[in-house]
Amino acid sequence: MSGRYGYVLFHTSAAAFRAEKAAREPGASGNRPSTGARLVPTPRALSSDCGVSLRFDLGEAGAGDAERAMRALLDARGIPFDRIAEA
Amino acid sequence: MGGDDRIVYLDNAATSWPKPAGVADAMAAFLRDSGGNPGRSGHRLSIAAGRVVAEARDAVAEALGVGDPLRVAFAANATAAINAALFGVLRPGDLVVADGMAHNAVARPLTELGRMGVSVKWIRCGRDGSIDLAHAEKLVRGTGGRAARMLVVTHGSNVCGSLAPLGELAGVAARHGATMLVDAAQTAGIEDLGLDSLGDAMVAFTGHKAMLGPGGTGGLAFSRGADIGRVRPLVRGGTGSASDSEDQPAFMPDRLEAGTANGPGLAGLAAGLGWIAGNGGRGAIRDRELRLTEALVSGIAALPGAAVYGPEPGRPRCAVMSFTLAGWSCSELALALDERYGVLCRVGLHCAPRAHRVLGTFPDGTARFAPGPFTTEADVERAIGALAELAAEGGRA
Repeated sequence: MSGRYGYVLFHTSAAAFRAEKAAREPGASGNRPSTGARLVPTPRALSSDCGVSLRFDLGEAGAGDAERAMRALLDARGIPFDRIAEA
Repeated sequence: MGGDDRIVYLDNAATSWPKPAGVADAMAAFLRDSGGNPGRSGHRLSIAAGRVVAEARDAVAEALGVGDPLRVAFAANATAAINAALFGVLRPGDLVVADGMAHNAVARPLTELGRMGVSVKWIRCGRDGSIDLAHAEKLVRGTGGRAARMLVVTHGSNVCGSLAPLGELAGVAARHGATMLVDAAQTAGIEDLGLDSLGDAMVAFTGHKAMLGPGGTGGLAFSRGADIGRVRPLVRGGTGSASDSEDQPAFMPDRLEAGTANGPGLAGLAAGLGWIAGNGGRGAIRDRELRLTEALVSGIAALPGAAVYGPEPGRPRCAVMSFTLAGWSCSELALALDERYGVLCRVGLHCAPRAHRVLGTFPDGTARFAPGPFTTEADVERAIGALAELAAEGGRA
C-alpha cells in the first residue's frame, strides 16, 4: 500500500456499483487496476455530494499507470463517470 | 377429485406463484444482512444494499436486451412505469396511437391525457387479438403532416395471449419519427424483447410475473436509440446524487428514480431472474409454458359448450389463454374450479375492457388460464378434467 489513492467520482451510484463490479472481476481485463478497488464515501475535499466513490491504490510506480488502467476499464465497459481525482 | 388439497395455480398472468425458493431467501437476507439504504450512505450496509440493487439492474438489462444497465430505471410496478412514460413524454396537442388490446394501465392514463388535450387514436385488432399493421401505419403517419409522438404497444395480451410483432411495429414508429412504448407486463423476463434493436423505444416491465420476483418491483427501460432527455420526471426527490442541487438530476437512472429503492423487492427480483438463468434460461421456460398453453387451448376447445378466444394454434402467443363455458357465468365457474378442484384462475374483464370488446367478450368477460414455470402436465390435465365435469353438469349461470 502506498497510501496514495485515486478516486473515481460518479454522477450516479448506479454507475459506481457497476464500476466496482468491473474492477473486482478476476482477470476480466489486462487493463484491470492491480489493487483492491472499493467503494467509499466520497472525500469531502473532492465533492460536497453524499455519494460513494471508487477508491483505488495509485501504487508506487507512478500514479499515471493506475489511473490510465482505471480509465481504460471504465471506457471498455461504457461506465460513465464524472472524473478521477487524487486525495 | 375431492379430498385433495393440492392447488393447481393457473393465474400466473396476475402474478407468478410459487416463486423460486431463493426469492424469499434473498429478500430475508437483504433485510437481515444488507439493510442499508442503497446508493445513499457510504458505509458497509449501504454499499451491500447498493450491490444488490446493481445486481438486479444488471439482470433486468440482460433480460430485456439492454446493453447498458443504467438505462433501466426501477419503479413500483409496470403501471407506474407506463404512467412515467406517457405523462413524461406526451403534451397537449400531441398524437398518441395505441393498440386495442391495451390493459387499463395504458387505457386509463391515455383517457386522462385525452382530457388534457392529447389526441388518442386506437389501432384496430382482429378477433384473435392480432394488430392491424396497415391501420397502425395509417394512424401513426397521422394527418396534415402531424405524425404520432408515440406508439404504445401491448406486447402480450393479458386476456388472450396474443403477441404483438415488435419488430414490425418498431418499423412503423421509426418511419414516422415516433417513439415506441412497449407494455411488456406479460412478457418481460420470458420473451426475447431485444430492446436495443427496436430503435427509439421504451419498455415498461413488471418484476412479479415472468421475472418471478415479488410484487412492488418493475420499471422503465430505454433502448440504445431512445431520447431519454425528453422524458420529464413525474416524481422528483432525493437520489443520493448531486445533492447540492434542488433540481432533479438529468442522468439515468437517477432522473427517474427519486426516493428510496425497494431493496428487499429488488433482491428478490435478482433471485428470480437468477433462477431463470440457472434453469435453462427464458427460452426453454417459454417453450415449455407454450406447450402447456397449447394443451389447454386444444383440451378446452374440445369440451362441449366451450369457446376459446385468442390466437389460433401455431400463431405467435404468450402463455395466457381465455375461454368461456356455456351455461356457466365466469364468477360461478371460478368458484367451482377453486372450491371443488383447487384450480385457481382469474375471470372477468382482467382490467382490459377494450381487449374484451375486441374479442367479443365484453361485458361478461372470460375465464383465464396462465401456466407458469412450475405448472406441470398433470396440472393441465387436472384443469381440463375439472372443466369437463363442469361442462357435463350443464352450468350454473
